Amino acid sequence: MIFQQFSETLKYEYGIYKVRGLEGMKGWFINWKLVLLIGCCCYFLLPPAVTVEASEGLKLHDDQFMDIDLFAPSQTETTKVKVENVSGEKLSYDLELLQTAGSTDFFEMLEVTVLKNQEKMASGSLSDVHTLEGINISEDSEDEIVWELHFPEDKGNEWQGKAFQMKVNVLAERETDREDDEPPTITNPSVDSGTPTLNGVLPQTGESFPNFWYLIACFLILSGSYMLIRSARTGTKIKDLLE
Amino acid sequence: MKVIGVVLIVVGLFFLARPAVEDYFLQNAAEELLDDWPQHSQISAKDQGAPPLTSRYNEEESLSAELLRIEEQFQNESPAREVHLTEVNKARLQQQMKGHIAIPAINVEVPLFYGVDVTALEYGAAYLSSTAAIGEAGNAAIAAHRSHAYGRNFNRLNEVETGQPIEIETMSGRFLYQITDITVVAPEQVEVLLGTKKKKEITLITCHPVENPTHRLIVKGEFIEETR
Repeated sequence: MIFQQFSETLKYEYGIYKVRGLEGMKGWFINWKLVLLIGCCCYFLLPPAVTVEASEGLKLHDDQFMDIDLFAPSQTETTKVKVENVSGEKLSYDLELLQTAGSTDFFEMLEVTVLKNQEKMASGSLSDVHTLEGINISEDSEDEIVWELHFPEDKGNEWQGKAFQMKVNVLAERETDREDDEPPTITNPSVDSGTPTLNGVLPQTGESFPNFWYLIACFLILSGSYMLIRSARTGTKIKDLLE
Repeated sequence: MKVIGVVLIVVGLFFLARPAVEDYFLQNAAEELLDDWPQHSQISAKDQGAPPLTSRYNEEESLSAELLRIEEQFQNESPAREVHLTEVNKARLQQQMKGHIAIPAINVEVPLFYGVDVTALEYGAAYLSSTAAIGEAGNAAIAAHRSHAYGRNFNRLNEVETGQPIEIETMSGRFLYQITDITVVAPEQVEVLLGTKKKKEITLITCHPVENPTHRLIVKGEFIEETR
């Protein structure tokens, strides 16, 4: 069974709610513990961009995820995803909200209530409710996960300009496959033993050569020069005629 | 027609100069971030309990996942440059900036950002957060652009030689590495990022060659000492 994993970096700014950057990843699995990381993606003022569909196992419906365009004190915004189990077997999953960068204070200040199928699972500051573990999902069923994000009313201008990045993960596992003694397929690069299996490519660090700008520049300069020469010649001819 | 001709030439010259002007502004912005670093690092340490440049390894994101995420981000995100360091940009970059890296042999000193993304690479070097932490056992990887502008970012990284120092300062301290190996690899050879618990290594990554890069230039360094 192959799963896909997705994660998402979200960016909050005072007054504006932004979501930055799709962080999609291809599938991998750990042979002792099947893992599924799911996330969602959308862009500021745009409808949700991605519906994640695993080849087998789970489906993520993100069409109501993060379409918020304003975030200010006293405001509460709701965002949700649906996790559908299509694996034909019972799974459990963890929900994780992780701050990856930016202002820790701002992150910890925001309040969140997490609901599953309209049933309150947890509430508190984002830092307190960053992980909810062991949510069971039976075969062929669907969970609606709702995050109610609240910007406390008594918070004011001190948060202006503050920003942070947060990642939302849904981590699913099939407990029956767990064999604790077996090492993961992807091993820690710092571990001496084992043959690590790494995917991906090294970061693209080349800069595109500005050919486009140079081409436009050459075209404009040549056109301008041609016009100047033509203008000068025409002026000379007229002058000759007048003389 | 004469006026139009002059205007076209002026606009053409503007376009001709644009890449160089952009590089100039980006260089200035990077220097501004470096200048602000001592003050900003102290403020961050005080206000946020200073999570330094720590690795997220063994957490939710594996190195493979991070590499795939970076790859996808570079495919999706516009390479448009934010050459002007606005207050918002600056605040964001300062939050992301966790130190700076210097290679004296090629006269380079650039900001070091936490996590590889398009914006961070425009202004300096970026640390792959799923690799080992700087100064700790394992292999810490840092990527930067092989900029077209001479001397900017890792443009001259091909000129370094083994034995030369690499200096990295983070909120955790100042770390000195010595270059031990310089290789050119295919982009798929991600095994260069693997490390061992026995050694404290660093791996610098940039594209090779400068134009139409098909490979990656890899410079490996070994930890020598922590100087602070």
